[in-house]
Amino acid sequence: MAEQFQASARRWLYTTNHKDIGILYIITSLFLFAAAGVLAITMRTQLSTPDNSILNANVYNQFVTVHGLLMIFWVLSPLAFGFANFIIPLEIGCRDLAFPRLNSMSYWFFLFSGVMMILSFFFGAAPDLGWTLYSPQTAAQFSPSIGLNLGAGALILMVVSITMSSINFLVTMFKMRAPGLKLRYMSVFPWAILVTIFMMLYAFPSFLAAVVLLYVDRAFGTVYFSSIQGGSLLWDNVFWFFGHPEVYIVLFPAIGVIADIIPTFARRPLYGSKYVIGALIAAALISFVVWGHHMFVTGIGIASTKLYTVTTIAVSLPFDVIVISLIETLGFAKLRLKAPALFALGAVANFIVGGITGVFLASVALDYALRGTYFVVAHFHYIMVGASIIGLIAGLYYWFPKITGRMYDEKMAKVHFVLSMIGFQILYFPMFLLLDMPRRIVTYSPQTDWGLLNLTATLGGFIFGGAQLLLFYNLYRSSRVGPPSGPNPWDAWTLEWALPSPPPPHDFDVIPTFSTDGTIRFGSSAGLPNGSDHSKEIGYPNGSSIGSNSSLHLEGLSPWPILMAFAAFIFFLGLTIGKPANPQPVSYEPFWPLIADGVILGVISLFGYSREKFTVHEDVHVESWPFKQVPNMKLGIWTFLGAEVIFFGVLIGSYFFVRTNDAAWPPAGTLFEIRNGFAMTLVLLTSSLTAIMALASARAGNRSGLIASLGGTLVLGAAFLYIKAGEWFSLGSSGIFQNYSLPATSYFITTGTHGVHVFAGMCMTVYLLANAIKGKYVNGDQTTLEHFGLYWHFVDIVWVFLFPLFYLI
Amino acid sequence: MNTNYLYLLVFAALIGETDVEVNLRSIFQAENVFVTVLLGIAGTKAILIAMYYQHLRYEPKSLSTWVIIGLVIASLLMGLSFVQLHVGHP
Repeated sequence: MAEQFQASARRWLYTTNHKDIGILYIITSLFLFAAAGVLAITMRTQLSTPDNSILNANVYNQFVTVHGLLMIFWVLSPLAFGFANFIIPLEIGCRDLAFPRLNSMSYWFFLFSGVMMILSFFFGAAPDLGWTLYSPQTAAQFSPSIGLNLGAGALILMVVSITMSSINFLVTMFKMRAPGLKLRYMSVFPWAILVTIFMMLYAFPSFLAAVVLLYVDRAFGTVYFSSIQGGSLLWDNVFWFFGHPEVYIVLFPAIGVIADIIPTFARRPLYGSKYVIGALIAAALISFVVWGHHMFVTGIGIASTKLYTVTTIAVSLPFDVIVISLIETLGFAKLRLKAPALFALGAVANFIVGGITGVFLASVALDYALRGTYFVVAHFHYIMVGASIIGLIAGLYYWFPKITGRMYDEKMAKVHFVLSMIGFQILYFPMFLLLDMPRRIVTYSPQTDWGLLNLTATLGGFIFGGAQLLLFYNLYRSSRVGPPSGPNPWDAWTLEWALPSPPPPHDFDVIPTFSTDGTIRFGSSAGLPNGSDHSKEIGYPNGSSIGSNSSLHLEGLSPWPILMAFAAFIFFLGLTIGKPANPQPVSYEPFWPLIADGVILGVISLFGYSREKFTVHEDVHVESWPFKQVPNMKLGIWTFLGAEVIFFGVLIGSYFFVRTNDAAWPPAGTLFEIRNGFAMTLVLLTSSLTAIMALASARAGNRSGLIASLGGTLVLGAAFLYIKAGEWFSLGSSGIFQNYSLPATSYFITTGTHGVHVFAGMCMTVYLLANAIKGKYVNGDQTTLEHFGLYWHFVDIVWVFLFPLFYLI
Repeated sequence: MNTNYLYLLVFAALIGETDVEVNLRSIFQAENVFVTVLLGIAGTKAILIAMYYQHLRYEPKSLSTWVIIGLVIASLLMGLSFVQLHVGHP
């Protein structure tokens, strides 16, 4: 018994298998769905009658904020990525994601970030300013509780998790598709995930930069958001640049699920599927130029409001294509009204209402009237809950048999659907009528006529919330005692249904091949298209238990991802739970023992991670357009650097923003000495030369040249940081610290962030140098050196821009 | 050309451009022109590093396109924020 428990604990804590990680994501996000739901029900109870006092304003604000943050970041996307983890490799015909240990680390970062967010309730107060964290209310002087620091730390960890996931999925989907599976043959769900990841990759670094700037403002007294030149408008830009794509990030996976489900249950192919995919891509691209419509009331100028009105209306058009396509698919179909189909149809109906009411808000005049009212609350809940959550619940029922090998209780699922849809409409439709009720207020006076509508909404909230208990019970019970589902209970057409339910740990005995006519072949035995039971044909072990441990699976265990995530968690805990050090301006003293523990554990984990023998095979006989000649790891590094471009782009953009908004900026050479900047530039450029010479030496088999070049890179990196530190101390001795002025703030934070990158590069150089001394790299494999170079030269490129911006203009 | 010479040539160009940057103020007095030229030079330095030290010149075009997409999106944020601040205000 104890041995069984030990084996099970080892499996779930150390797993790197995509299906296990998918299940972990799904279960965790459902728990957090329940937690965020309890917060919502409590808020609705508070608002059910006028002058209610169940919650005081302080607690109510915390509930509003944490409810929003949890639902958006820790429920919607993780639930979708639970499906993506489990289903995408099965659907595109590969055995796991490109970087299994990174996938495991993504999950544990996500889990610990959620723990940190919930912990914020126990440290003074949780974040209490709404999920948009509008500045300057988030400034330390207005929100001195360290709960907000914890919230910022949680968000940073969460973005790190998402960035790792994005890189992993992009490389997997571009580089590891089964032979013959061209991008254009992928079904809509993988496409929706691919487009979602694209948006995540480029939107989340902006959010990361925003939260980092918020954190340094709070912790170190910098003045990005408390200055007039930066302030609320700077926050609005960096937040909403991420925030609007985020709406589609949480919506697209649900659209993908729906677009896989409706054709399956209508027994017709998706009408105009290529147009649907085109519409997803178009909406994703346009989503990066619509963020200003969240800022119509901030005085952004006529030209901007016109532009954002046009782009906002434009972004609604691709969704029309998607909805029309789904409706056309249903035309004359003999629809099988099983639970997944019902929830998918319900999600489409809700999406139409939520989408149309969103177009209203593209109008500047209407936005002025409706902004900050319950109309907006109703609109985005029709999208977030009505379309996304309901759509993802459709996915839960749809893939439940594949994940567990058992059927859920169909009758209970249908009751769940009816109660959910009725409860949802009673909950949210009255909010459209509360046109004049401000959102986020804790109570209201009896003189308003809002009482009846609020009471109705609360009743709907209880019906909707209660209905979800049926979902949890159904899933829990059916996973234990539900009847066996067989491999393909829906007669579905995508590849995952050709495998047993649940699939074996290694997924495929033989990697399938896709033919242009839609036929899927396994090895020499021809599979039949469109829902035939391939598994019997090729002899998969039907009925294998989800808890089984094959040797293939056990090979994939690694303790380092969870340890690295835990190290990051306690490091950020140390950074964020320190006591206030200064009352004015408020700043915080970090809790150094925890930080030290985090660093030590992080170094040990990193060392273990790098020493662990964990082989991931790169299959060459796969479909990998458009990156056929680019190895997986190199594509991963370039993708990571793409995210870094956005991160530094936002830091530099913020500098531009405050700089061009400030007429009294000190001229070049008065605050930061040009000769220091010039010297650092020379040093860093030379280090780039030595880094490339290290690679050239290794390729030429020149060991001493390699060691000398790497040593040179290390010394030059140290010299760069030495000059930088000298400059910082010199400024400090003149009384110029990060909180001195906006020029000082932007200088210390931007060059400091760059300095951290240089330091990270130096740590890598030490590792490479140690290996080079042992004789590595000169006899064949230089890829690690090459990958290091990509990073180091990128850091150099960033400085190439920082030098003129901070020292010459 | 021997790749080591190429790397040295690129390095010389980078140092030369840096020298030009430092001495540019005496040529361009107008602030807008000065900043534009300065950022243009920084851009060419970045391109040189990416093309020859990061070997983007020898990689498939798809990879370069991938990198450019990131740059375009970052530029959109900066460009449109700038428009908000400085264009169309009475």
